[in-house]
Amino acid sequence: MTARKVLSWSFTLAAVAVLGWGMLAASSADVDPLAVGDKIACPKCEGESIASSQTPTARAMMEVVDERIGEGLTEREILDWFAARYGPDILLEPPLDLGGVALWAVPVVAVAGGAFLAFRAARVRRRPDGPASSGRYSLVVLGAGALVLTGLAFGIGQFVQPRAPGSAVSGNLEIDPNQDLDGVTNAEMEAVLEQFADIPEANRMRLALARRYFEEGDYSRAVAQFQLVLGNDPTPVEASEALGRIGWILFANGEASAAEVAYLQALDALATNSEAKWFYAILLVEEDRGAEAVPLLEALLDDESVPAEVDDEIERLLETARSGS
Amino acid sequence: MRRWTWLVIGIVVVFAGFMAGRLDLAETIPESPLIGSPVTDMDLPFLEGPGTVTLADFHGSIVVANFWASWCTPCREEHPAFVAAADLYGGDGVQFVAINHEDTEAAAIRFLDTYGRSDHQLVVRDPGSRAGIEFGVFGLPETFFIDGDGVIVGRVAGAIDLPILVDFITQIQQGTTPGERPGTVYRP
Repeated sequence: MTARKVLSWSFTLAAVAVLGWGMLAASSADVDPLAVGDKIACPKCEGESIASSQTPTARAMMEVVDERIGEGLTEREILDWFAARYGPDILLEPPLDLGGVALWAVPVVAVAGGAFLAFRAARVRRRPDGPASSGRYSLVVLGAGALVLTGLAFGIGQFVQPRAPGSAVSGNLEIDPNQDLDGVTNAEMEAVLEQFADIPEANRMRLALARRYFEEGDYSRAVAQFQLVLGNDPTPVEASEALGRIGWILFANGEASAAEVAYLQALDALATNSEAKWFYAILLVEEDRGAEAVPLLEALLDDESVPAEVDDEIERLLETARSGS
Repeated sequence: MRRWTWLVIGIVVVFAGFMAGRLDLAETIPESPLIGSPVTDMDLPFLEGPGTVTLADFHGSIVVANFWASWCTPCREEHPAFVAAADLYGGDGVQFVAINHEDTEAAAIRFLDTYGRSDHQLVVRDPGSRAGIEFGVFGLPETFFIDGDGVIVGRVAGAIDLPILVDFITQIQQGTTPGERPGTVYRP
């Protein structure tokens, strides 16, 4: 072996050693919990990572991330730990999947194939000695068209992705009161509402956000948003919903008398609020005042706006109310 | 010419197959990768009273572990089925464990006062949502079935009813793995 070869091998080995040492050193000590949390989807939210979500589940999962980092696990090992429990879909950057690669590749191949066929068809037709019968020509053009259209139809769908979390919310509250909020994350709504704090038109978005917090069990944030709705010139429908749900939160925290006041105010704002009637009836039954709950529950059974599938539940509570009264 | 026609047909068929497969998966929450895995050893404190339960300790018994909360509407719907099933088996070879997940103790107790209890059902809390994370719970309710060897052999997502409960338990008693029953969970 020549001196040059020895030198070359020495450099290569040294480079590999340095890279390897760097990778090992970075494996556990440098793992950033927020960076890991950003790669894990909150299982009970839409389009949010556990690092950005404030739900109890996301916070608990972030604690697990911290603990695993403390145990010396690498980012990849932590992601695998969660994927082993929730499945690979819990990762916002799932591992390479051949099916997914094929989905991306097929439209490109189809368009390229169609273009090639069209080119070939054009050449066949131009050739003076070619056997370009019109039937054959049509078939080639048809095939080319089918390939191009297939590629475009499926390809466009992949490029028109849902708006990524964190990108700007373009909906103007005053201009578009019917904006679809399903794809908007909690953090984005919070950001928009900060700018439109005093506009009553923002109440619709604020209520949507408050409902999400309410349903996620994040009651402190829900109450804060419901209170802001109440202080922002709400419509009777908005005020009644906010009061009714504040009542439920109070009741869940053992404040039955305060909850009752909220329910009465909710029904005062909108006598037809069936949700407030239902919440109030539950309170009355649990407070051994079933007789007072009976007319509320009977009204709910007669209310055509109440979905038929909850009638059984209302009837069960009505039976309890009657037996206790 | 014929080979080009076949190529077009082949590409369209393969792609349609991919799309159909993906569309089907989008309808339900993901399948649990835990089917076939041993249940994690962890202590769960009783909701009412002192003491803890460890799911891995019920060797020889089938364990039905149900994640629920008082704020979850489908949990109210399925609750009578659990009470009935727990009474039906009476602790004989089947242990029902209701895991109260992300809820307040007071609200959970009120729920049981309203919708009923079974003497043969163990009701425990899930401090810090750790059991929910260990089981990869996406929403409520979710029910996991653990065989006598401590292996997770089934999961039902969404509200369950008595016939499904009995069917899953019977399959496990007969030595088969019931596996997944997909459904819609309450997922805010």
